[in-house]
Amino acid sequence: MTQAGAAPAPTQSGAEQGGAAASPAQRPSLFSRARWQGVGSALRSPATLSLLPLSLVLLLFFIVPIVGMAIIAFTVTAEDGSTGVGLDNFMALTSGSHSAAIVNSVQVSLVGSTIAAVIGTLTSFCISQIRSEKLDSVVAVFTSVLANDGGAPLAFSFIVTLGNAGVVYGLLNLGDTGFSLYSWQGLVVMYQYFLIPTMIMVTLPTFVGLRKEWREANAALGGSAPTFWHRVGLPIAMPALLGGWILCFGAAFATHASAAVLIGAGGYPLIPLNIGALLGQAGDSQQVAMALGVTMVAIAVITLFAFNRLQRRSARWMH
Amino acid sequence: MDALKHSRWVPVAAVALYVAIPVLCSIYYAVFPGGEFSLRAYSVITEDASLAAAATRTLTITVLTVITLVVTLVPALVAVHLWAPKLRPILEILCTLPLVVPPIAIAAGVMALLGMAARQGRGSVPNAISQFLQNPDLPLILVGTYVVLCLPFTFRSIDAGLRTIPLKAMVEGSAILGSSTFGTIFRVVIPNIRGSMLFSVFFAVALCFGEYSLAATLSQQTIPVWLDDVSSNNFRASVAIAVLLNMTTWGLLLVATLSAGRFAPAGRAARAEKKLQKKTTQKALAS
Amino acid sequence: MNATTPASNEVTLEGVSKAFGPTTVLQDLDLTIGAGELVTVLGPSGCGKTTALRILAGFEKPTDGRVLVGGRELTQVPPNRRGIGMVFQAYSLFPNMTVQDNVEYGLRVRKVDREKRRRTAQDMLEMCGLGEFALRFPAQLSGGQQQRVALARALATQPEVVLLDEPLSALDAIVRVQIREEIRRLQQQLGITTMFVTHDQEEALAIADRVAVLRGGVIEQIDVPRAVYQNPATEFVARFVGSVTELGAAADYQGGRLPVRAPGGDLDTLFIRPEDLTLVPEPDGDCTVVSQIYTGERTTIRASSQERDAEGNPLELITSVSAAEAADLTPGTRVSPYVMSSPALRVTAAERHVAEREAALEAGEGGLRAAGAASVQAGAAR
Repeated sequence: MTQAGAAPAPTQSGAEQGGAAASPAQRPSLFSRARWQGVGSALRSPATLSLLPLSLVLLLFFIVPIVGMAIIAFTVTAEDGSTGVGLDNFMALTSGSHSAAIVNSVQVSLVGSTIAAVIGTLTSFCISQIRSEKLDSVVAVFTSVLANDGGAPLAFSFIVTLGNAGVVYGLLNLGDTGFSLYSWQGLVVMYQYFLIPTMIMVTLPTFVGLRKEWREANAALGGSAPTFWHRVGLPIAMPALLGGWILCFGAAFATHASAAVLIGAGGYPLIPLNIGALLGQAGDSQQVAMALGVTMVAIAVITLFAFNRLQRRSARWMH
Repeated sequence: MDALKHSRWVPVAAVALYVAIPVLCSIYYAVFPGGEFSLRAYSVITEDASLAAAATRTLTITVLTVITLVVTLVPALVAVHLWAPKLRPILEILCTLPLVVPPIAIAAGVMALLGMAARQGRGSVPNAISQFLQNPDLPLILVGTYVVLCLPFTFRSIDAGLRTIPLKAMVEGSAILGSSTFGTIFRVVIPNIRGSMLFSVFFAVALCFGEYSLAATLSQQTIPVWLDDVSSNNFRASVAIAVLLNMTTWGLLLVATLSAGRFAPAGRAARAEKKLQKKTTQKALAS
Repeated sequence: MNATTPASNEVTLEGVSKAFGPTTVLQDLDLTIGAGELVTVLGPSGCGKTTALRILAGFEKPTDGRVLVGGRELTQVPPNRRGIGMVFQAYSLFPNMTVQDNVEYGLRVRKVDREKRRRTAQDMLEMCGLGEFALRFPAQLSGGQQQRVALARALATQPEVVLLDEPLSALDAIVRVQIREEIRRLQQQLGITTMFVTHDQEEALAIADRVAVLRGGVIEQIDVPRAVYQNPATEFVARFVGSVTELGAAADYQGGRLPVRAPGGDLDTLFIRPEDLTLVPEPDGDCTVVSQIYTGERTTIRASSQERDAEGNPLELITSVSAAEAADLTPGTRVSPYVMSSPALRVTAAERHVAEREAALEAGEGGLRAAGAASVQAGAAR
């Protein structure tokens, strides 16, 4: 096994090294069986073999692109063609359409996620109060489906419903109220379609998981229902509520497809839309797109980090 | 008291209505042009060759994505659970990260890379690779990135599936009985995580059918991109197809979620228990 | 504590019935727990013992009957105004609060000032041996420690009545014995009227002033532990509390060597406790020793005979002997049973026939309780 396993390794590497014009004489150890035996058998161990394909996919299609994006974002091309590290591409974000996009993105996500958090919490509280296991599991399935909804079909269905010629738009005379689907209001309303389910999905298990014993212990100790919610129920649910809110913010922030189809390019600047538009152009705009991408990743990472912290805090209580 | 009980349903009903109305409006718009029922909008399926091409492209991508996902993720996770539990947190972070990185940012990164490769000039190896990955007949770049986009969800599902079964004991027990490790994994482990694997497959299919950002940025006309492109001159057709697509992805996600629960060992045990209870109560009533 | 509390804090369930839909869980239950007394309610799962406790606590409303504490009727009073302490099976501590805050909870609800709250909680925790755990969270404690905290929390408001709903069932054996002794000590020290629900007969006997054995929503027997064990009122109690050998005996049998026969026909049924049964090695004995289980102080001997009961299983005899006696009773030895003192319970053939007819009648009514009763008695009936 070790014999056969080690044998091909040197020849292979030798051929590669030869191609790269490295002198074998300088590295005699390269051909010694002892040096390659360990590597060869490690590469053939089932663990390494099983992990290799996934690592390759992650490396090629995720890590390298993200690192490449970051490198380009921080690379500055001087007038003489030489390149260096700098924040010039990020400076370009502080003005004009891009700064508006950052502000808009944060605004839409903040308003959208807050509304979803309130409605979602109320709904999942009511669902937990109905106390039907069947309803709980139906809701769990539907929310997880809807939380992943988005894209062109979502945008189309809202155009047909709330667009200027939409069915509900006409029925409710929304034109008189000044509402427009193609504004930040429209985005907020459309985002609710997957944000509310996300919020319900995250908070329902917590509300359902509030043990009957806690309620009864509260009553046996003389507490009323409001006492229970004030002192026990809400404090326990709070991490999940905040966590769900943050997750909604992140989801709204990252949304590109439905917004792109709804608004198109240039109608209402948002970070993802601007990245999409810049990628379609040539020249320096690519570097600015990468800087926007890095900004976006940074905000998303901070958001998820906060989400994780809150989740962990509630996990400590709940076991 | 009763009023209070019923009032609990109000928010639930409101949200359900909010979810249902856009769907109903879309269906209405698609099949009731001018108030009369007609499937004319769907004639685009036979008339527009670009839709067929987009559908073929989407299906090819989907099949390749599903295969790649299963073939890369399942062995990696089994290996980690079995032989290298210390690597699990690292793998978890790596597989969850794509959730944090918005698809459009991944698109940006991929564009950056392909652009760099293409700039190496005609005939160079990187340029050839870049062309190869973006081949409109077989956009492998989408397959790779879609696998990455699926990872956060499918990793969790399969990881949870593996955690509920005594993997090590199974493999050791099976080895004592004379089975090889890989034989055990095929005969014992895979059947026990069938639910998680089905979830992963259906989730991946749903994602491939619905993904827009990457495909649009990389100028690959999949069905969602086709929908957007066609909407400017034949909106009714794109809504009609969107309804179909939406129903399909919802159906797939529904099946995904249900199969995750249905085939999980706990779920199966619960159902067996229920059956048993039914039998015993029937017996008790009969005697 | 309560303004209305009279001198006595006796607890009474008076003619209490409870039905969930078509299922009757409690039937016309009368139970009085004297002031400062600890009564265990013992029974198999589904016998209604937890329902009785929850009616007393106020979490369930009885379909019929009254609940009285210290002569005051509480039937319609909500649980949070009954002033009754309660310890649950498990997981009842508020996970978001420290041990200290958990114990203070009842006092906080009663708006006791901070300083006094703190002191009382500290005292309670000391009393339950948890002084150093005050600032931990429940999740950081073992199951036994959690139940001690739950006890401290229930006692902190100084209730006159405490209800314990299988508080030890989630704990392992050693901790279970420790905590049950602590519960008993505190209960006696503070003179609290206590209802303790359990399905563990050893626990029920060990801790109680009186034991109430419940089956199918009806009290089969309520008496001091010794009486329940030595003089069970019914076949069910004889079987459920302690181990027992069931043998048939002629109507005129008065003790001594007992020919091994299955109960049934015109024979009386004897229910014999292990300590009342002696197995004597005899070459022509009816039974064969099957196993010896050595438990330290005593050795349990099981023997079986060729005779079969109504269900076709060999009759099994069980006794316990000292280590010296066990030497003569190795597996395979032929033995004959001798009943040295009067058996715990003797059911005459006539009594058994009446019981069988009643069981058949009840089964005909089709109630769930009747079905349960029928299945328990099926062995004797056929």
